[in-house]
Amino acid sequence: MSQRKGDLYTFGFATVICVVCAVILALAATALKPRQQANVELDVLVNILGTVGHDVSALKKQTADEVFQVFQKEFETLLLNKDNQPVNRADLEQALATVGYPTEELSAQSASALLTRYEGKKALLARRAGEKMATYEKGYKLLYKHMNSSDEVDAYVIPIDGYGLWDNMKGCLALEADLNTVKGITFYEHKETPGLGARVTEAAWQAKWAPENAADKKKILDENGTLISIIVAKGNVTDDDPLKSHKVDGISGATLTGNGVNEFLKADLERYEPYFQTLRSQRSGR
Amino acid sequence: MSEATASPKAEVFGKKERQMVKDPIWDNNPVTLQVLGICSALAITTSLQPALVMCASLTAVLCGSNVTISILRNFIPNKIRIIVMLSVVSTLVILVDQLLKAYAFDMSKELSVFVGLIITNCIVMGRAEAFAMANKPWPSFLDGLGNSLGYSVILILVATGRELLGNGSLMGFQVIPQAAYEAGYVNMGLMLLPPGAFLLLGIIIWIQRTMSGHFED
Repeated sequence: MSQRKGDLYTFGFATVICVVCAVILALAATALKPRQQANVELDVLVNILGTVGHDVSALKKQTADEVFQVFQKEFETLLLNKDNQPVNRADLEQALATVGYPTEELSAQSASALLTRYEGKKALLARRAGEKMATYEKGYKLLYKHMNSSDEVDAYVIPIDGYGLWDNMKGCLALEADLNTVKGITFYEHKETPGLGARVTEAAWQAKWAPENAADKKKILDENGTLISIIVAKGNVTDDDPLKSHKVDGISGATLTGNGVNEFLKADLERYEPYFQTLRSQRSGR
Repeated sequence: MSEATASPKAEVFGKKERQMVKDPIWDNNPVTLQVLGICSALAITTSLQPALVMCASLTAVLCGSNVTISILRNFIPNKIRIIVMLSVVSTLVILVDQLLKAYAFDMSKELSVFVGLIITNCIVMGRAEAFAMANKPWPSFLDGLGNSLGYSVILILVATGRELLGNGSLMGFQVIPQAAYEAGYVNMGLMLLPPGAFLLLGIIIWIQRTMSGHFED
């Protein structure tokens, strides 16, 4: 260490270290990717099941296949296009192929994973074209229908995502069969501050979205049927608040995370609202 | 901390080597005496299980980085030694993070950024600079092991205290019986918040220094 080495040696050594580290990391990332992706997909299913009242900790003890079977049995996945027409998987695969994904990779993936890739690619293209993340139009949307034992829909689950404080957050919102009352919410991917914004993943906070007492239930529509969405309040919601049934207690120290949630939750609900209206009128017409 | 620690006739696991592992666990503990690595010691000790995973991750990174740096020590140009150490450490940390994501997904979600923050854990860089740069691989490995054990002991103590007092459970299992709650026992919510970790850590340092007679001038 004491001998003097030339600048050329220093540059050479730095280059070698960089290349070796990069190769090791690239190999590890490639080798572990399938397993990691499987974990992420399983986590999404567990979260969807969690919003309709399944015990998440019990689900986590089961194998991936068992969870998948529960999901298959209880849920019907519906893929809608921009005009709210149900489409099948092949159309989405087609759309992905047109934005440049190798088709042979697509067939093995879940609809949710396909959609993530499609939206990711669209967002990238939008950003390159100089559009803002929030303003570009999302093409397809997913709707999970939860079936009860007599084969009737008793809940709808929609994926929600958007910016929190630091980065993109992903989660699911479950609505009762009336498409108005909130049944549950969950967040499974986020980079919010641990201990502050990250508390959106805590069961105690998520429980505030779906209170036990029927009178306290949170609604996304007002009395006239106009979409209000759910608002994460700053601080606690007071009893005399006129928007009480649309507001959830905020997390102290995480106002900006709450603002982010408010923004993207409303945007997501607005995208689904036209289709929800058709579903609601079908329901009341029955 | 000189070349003398690794004299040519050093045994594989003689008295000196045992001392090297034992010393940082108690007498020269990196957390309580050198007060390094506090950030993660406070952040992930609300319950025992993540603390254990964190200890295992740090042990893997610290031993790995000490051995790697020690093997490379005669080739690393002095001018860029810190950045080289940092590259080695970050590579190891990212590897650990990727492995956790693949094989312990829930744990990696719970530990979130704190696995990545091992890169900035002062113990890792400290041992690389102070020990591994001047010693052979085997002593460096032992030094890394000793220091990570020292860190682990404190993490486990703090996490046990916080989970037991704050949640009444250990490793997720309820320890304090329901009867105690019915009799009016209340969990100490403060323990789950950052001040709880500071208080416990302070008490541990106090007890340890009283026992070992360590005194700051």
